[in-house]
Amino acid sequence: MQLRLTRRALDDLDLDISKFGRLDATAYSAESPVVEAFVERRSQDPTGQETTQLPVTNATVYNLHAGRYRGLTWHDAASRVVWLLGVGWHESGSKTDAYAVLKGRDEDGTLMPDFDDYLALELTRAEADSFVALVANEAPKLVAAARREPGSEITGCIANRINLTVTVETIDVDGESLDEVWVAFEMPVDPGDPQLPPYPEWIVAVLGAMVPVEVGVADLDFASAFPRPGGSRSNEVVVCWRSY
Amino acid sequence: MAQTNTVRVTETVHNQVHAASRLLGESVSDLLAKAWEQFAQSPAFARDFEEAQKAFSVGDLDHVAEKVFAIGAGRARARADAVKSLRNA
Repeated sequence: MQLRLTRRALDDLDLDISKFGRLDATAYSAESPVVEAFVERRSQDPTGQETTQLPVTNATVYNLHAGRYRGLTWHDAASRVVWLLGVGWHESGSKTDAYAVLKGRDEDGTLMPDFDDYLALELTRAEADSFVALVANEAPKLVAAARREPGSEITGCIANRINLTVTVETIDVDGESLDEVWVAFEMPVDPGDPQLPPYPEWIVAVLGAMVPVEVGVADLDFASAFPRPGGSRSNEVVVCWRSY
Repeated sequence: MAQTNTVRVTETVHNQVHAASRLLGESVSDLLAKAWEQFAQSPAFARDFEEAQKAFSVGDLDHVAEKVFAIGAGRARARADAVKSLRNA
């Protein structure tokens, strides 16, 4: 679960969007007592005790107290993120009271996370370039190393994040010698900056760099157990293919 | 061979899968197996994999990076649209 501030919430706290907009709040909790309270409380429980009824959006948002500051947080379960949506100064009855301002934003459609907030959860184009360059360099080398030592388990780490084990078994099919290549991806990937999205595009990229073009997607076997005593581990995604 | 393992998912996913299980009259484990099979055989997976495979084979890393970025941007758009859909008409 990530803890994130929307760009609007960062602006409320005078925090630099270009500096903090792509980071988990735990990385900069010391920058503000509000961020500190957000991290401390929502890391223990993604919801809260006290809710605020939004005038327009059908979502349960929770109040966050930090001294005289008030904020609203939303547990976005589908994205595995708790968002701090906005922050203001609490002054009951005042038009500038935090809750009045934040409800006003909900009416204007500017309270909840938008496209740019969600885009900040993804790799930037530069990060994607760097990731793909590392995959292109490292993935084929692991398969090549496993081919040099058939039957051995070759472990490696791609892009400083993706731990995997590769093994090659030489088999005989109708008198022809084939390599059966097995790759076990360890899940989840290691944490780090930038975070790899917990979605399949990275696994597709790694497989694309490992599997020769003559092997089609229909030839990939995702169902078999890794050929080691005990088989696949519970945290592994295993893929196998055959090639000459 | 069937194996027994604990699969941890969010409460929302848990409830949806159990509702689908009742609706379709299939066990949760069968649904999970089918969902994975469908993903691995889905046109989107096949297209993305083959595209990446061809691009890597000719050293077109830019194409793969663009694809990785575009998938993320598409996901961000879908999430933002889902949030907008929470607004009462």
